[in-house]
Amino acid sequence: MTIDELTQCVDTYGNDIYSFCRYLTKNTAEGEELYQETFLKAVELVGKMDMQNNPKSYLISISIRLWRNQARKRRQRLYAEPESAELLYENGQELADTAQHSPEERCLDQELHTLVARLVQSLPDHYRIPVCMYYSAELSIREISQILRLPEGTVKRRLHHARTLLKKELEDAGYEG
Amino acid sequence: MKDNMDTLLKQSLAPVKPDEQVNQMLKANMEARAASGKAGTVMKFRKKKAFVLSAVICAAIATAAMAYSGVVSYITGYSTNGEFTSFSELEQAEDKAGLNIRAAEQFENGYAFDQMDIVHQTQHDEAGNALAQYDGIHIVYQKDGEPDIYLDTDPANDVTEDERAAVETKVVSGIELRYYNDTYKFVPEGYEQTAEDEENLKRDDYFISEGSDVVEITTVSTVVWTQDGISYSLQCSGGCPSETLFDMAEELISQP
Repeated sequence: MTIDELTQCVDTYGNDIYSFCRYLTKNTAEGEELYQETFLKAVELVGKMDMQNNPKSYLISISIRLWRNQARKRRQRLYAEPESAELLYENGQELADTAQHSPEERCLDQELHTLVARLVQSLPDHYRIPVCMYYSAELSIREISQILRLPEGTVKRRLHHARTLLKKELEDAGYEG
Repeated sequence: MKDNMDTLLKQSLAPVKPDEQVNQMLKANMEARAASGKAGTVMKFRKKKAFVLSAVICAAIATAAMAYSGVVSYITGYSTNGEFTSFSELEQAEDKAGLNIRAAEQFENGYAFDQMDIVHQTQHDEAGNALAQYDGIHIVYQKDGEPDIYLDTDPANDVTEDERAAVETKVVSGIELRYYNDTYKFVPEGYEQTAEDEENLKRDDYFISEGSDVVEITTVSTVVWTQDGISYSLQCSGGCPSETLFDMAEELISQP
């Protein structure tokens, strides 16, 4: 891959990588920093990247590796003081399709989505990371299994358990499926 | 319920678009890193406040310059971090940057050399395209109990020159020194400008810059001049009287 092609990846995959980094770090500022460091690291590795071979997955794997290295160095829980889910979700509205809803529906939707985002943040990492990769970075099961070096069945089971946990939390909070 | 949860999760964790300026700076930094061939400190708004200030001022002046040239919209920078820790390495820095500058190890007012770096800068148009690249030398001077003073040197060109009317001027050995006293309001991302901000922005000495964790207002005093094809800037965060910076500039101009 050339530097120009890698720069093009910022436009092509930037939203997905950025979103993933924000949800991974649970913090806008740290997420933005991780997003930048991901691409800068990719510059160093550009000779090893192949445009034909799923650059988005490769970039996500760089993000995860950098994030884990930083966490090891900090020797503390794998997130800074998490930002409020409202703030993390708020910018998500830019790309969410709410055009057809009434103001009341939009307000209820936002409340629900904020709650879901907060519940996802509180999941254990072995559930939270695949959930973010699948729903925020929009990776396939196969891509997730390759990046995390897990069998596809394990990825599917973790996503299933995450959904089950979240469903129960929502029901406890008074939301019905 | 799986389908409902799927939909709900997709909506709740929908991709978020980064601010356009984030991507523009990222691309510039990627090019700079690729060009330098080695790791260094990328200028980020949340770190290295001294360079942030310089970068912001460069960007602000470049933005002002756009009003005149209609070409350059902003400048991004990439610097090594503490690459030179001794004034005796000035010649090395000059070789690296391709500049021949005037600098002092210590000034008569007590300010002394602390560190020096090469700043790789790229001028961008409004669309983020790189127009020109050049290197500058950035030196930090310190004095106990006083704010740091930064000496920035760049190849003189239309963009590195500050063409605003100065608050005060002084002529030394036929060279005009121009003194500015600017207000910088550093704000977090997503900050919404107030009516007062909008009024203040009509002035050419008031700038708002995103990239801080908290709202912070700082006065920045600067003296600029051009000598032998080099654009010089002595800059003090927190405000300095013009006399302080004029005297330091005079010491540099008067060097043989």
